[in-house]
Amino acid sequence: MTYLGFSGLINFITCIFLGIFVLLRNPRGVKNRTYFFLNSSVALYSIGYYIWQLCSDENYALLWFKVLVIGIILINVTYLHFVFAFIGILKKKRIELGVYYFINFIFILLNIRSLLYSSIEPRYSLGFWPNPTLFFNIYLIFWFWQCLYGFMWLIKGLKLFSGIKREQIKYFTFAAIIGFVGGATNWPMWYRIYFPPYLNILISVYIGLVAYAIVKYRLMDITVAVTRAGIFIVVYTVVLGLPFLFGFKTGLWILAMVFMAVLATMAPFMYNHFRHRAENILLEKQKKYQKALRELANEMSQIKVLDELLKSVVEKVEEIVNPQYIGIYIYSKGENAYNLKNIKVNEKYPFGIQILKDSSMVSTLYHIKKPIFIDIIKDLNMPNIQRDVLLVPQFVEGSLFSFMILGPKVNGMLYSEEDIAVFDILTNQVALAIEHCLYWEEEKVRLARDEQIRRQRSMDHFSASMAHEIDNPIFAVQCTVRSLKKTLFEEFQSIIPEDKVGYLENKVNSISKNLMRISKMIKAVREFSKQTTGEFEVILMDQIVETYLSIIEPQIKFDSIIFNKDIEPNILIRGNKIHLEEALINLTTNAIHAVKYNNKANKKIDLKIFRNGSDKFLIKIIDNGYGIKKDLLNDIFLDFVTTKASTEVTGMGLARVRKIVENHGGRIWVESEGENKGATFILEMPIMKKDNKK
Amino acid sequence: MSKKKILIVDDEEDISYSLKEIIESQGCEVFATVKNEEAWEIFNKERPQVCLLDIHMPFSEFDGIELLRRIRSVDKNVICLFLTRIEDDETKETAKALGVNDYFEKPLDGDAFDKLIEYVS
Repeated sequence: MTYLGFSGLINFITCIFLGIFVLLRNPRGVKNRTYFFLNSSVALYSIGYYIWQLCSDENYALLWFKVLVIGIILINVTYLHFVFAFIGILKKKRIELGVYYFINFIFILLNIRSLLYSSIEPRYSLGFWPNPTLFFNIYLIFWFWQCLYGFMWLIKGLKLFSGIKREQIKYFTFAAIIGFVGGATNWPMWYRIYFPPYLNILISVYIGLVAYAIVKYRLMDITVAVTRAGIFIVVYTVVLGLPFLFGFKTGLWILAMVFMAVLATMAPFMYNHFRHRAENILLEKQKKYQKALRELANEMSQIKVLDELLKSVVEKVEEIVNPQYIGIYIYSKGENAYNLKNIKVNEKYPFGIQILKDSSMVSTLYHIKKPIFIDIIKDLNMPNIQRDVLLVPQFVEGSLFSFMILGPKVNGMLYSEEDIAVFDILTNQVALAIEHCLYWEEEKVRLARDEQIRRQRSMDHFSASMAHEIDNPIFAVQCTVRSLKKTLFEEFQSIIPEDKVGYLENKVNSISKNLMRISKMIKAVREFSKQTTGEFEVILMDQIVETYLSIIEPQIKFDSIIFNKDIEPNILIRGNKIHLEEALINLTTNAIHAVKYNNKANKKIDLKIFRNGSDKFLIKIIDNGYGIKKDLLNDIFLDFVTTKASTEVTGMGLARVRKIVENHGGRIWVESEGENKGATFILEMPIMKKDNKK
Repeated sequence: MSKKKILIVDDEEDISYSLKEIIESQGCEVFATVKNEEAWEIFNKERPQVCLLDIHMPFSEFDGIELLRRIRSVDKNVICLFLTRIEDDETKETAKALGVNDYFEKPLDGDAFDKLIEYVS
């Protein structure tokens, strides 16, 4: 066997092996299939080459030479086919590819009819070589064109893609150039130029490069290409191949057999050794990732504060991949946008502090729901952005809660499929942890509210008993003043100087009057301290309004006030009926007071109750009465603040209304343009959802 | 006609004795005390026409409700008035059930005071 024949055999074995391997990994994948066709063509060429080189008979040699040339013709067209599939333009190029297939088919016919070369003859002791015809010259030009055309598309692909895909294309292009150069070294011999095509073996280098890209860059989307089986095959190829090569070179076949026997005995140990080493190398990164993920999962389950969680995620991501920058954006419902929350940035950070929800970035994330590279986003309008920027979304209950932007790695390495897979897992864990945090934050608010209610109760209890305790001494003073008055003005009247009687009477009356004021205050405090946290029930606002109207309407009628009601029916609320009625009555009584003592012709009060969004409703009580001074608007709900003449009321009413409203999870505020411009009291209350009704 | 007899019980001396002065000036014979046990003795001995009772009597052996119950057990017609702090509804109901004639909450405003005086005059 000659060296050339040997190169053909090696090329055949490697090509057919890799072709079948790729096909078996995904028989339905168009890339895998077309790659298999390409490799089969190379294999056909190589087997033809091998046998052609073995032939000593001219007729046999011609037959196998024809096989070899069919291989050459098929290589080019299947190569184009694969390139189109690889870059993802196969559909667009279907007709064009058909034309190429047709032309190549004609050349195959010409080849079979011996029209590409007239005859073959032994040349330079390197086997039989042909005498090319005009048709062959045309074909050779066509051959070069197809090579270049394929490379053109590969180079376009390099510009089109980024990340790992770009690496894949790069490697394949490189491998294809090597392969074609290897094949092309045969052409000079056709034209009688002495140039032994020793580089024909480069076709196997092409296979090696493709195999490397499969392992390193998941070419053909094959993951973990190197397995125990792979190592086994490599080890045994060496074990069997080396003695074979030795035998072939020296002709000492017996020695070669002994050599093979020795190696075969050693093979299991070598296999084990290589397997260990390979697994350690291959799994090292995976192990590192797994460790980091495990640690993060542990940490995350302990964290109850969102900010801390995000901080720890950023730290961990930095540890795993060390990007140039990390930004986390969190959704803000109010702004309908994502705000930059926690970042590790450098001066090159190219994104803003806010990304709108309807931006192309967010909609793409919504669509894909997985980590993506920035360059797949259309209409990004960031011409100078690097391609290797990764976006990692976190979905909570189907909506995009937040996302991370990871800059290119500091060490210049590209993000691998493994990285992306890790972030995919991380994303799910982070989403869970965020949910956990949100739950805790809600829980914290709930606990704080409970605590507030508890404190309020104890405060109420305290003021109630205070009031009780004060009542007795006040009454004692009242009695004392009364008897003092009696004694002074009945028994001692005769001895009090005439001019002092009025003075004394004034003083004693003043004591009585102020006692009454104190006692009124005490009563108000007691009223205020009455429980506002009584039994809650699920009730329709309509029922509350009914009772309230039955109390308030006669009074409004009596004062000749125009009363407009606009009440949306069927609003459910969870609350205490009596307290809510009390609050409404209190507010309306204030409104009546405000319009009654305002000298306007049209005395008017409007009551509006309506839904505001799906979970809240508003109660508005609008009057055109004496209004509220601007500087009082904020204080009006505080204890002892009133707009009315101070002897008449205590100013506890609105404070109690506020307390009731807040106990129901609502809030109250007032709007007024100023004095004599009316006032609008607004209550915002939560709606009880029907499905929560228990 | 003999003087109207009034019994006043309140654990605060200032109240008890000030009221005594005020009511005496209406021309009544007033027995004032700060203990329910003593009040019960006075009631049995003097048989007053009007009894002014307090519910909370922390220094007595029994409270005003118990005193009312005892009085009612021997006399259904004597006028009994509670002059007490603001009570919960349950206590008010009990007092009503035991046949209290009226119920005054301390402190009294002018009108209430006048109403109280009406009972004794």
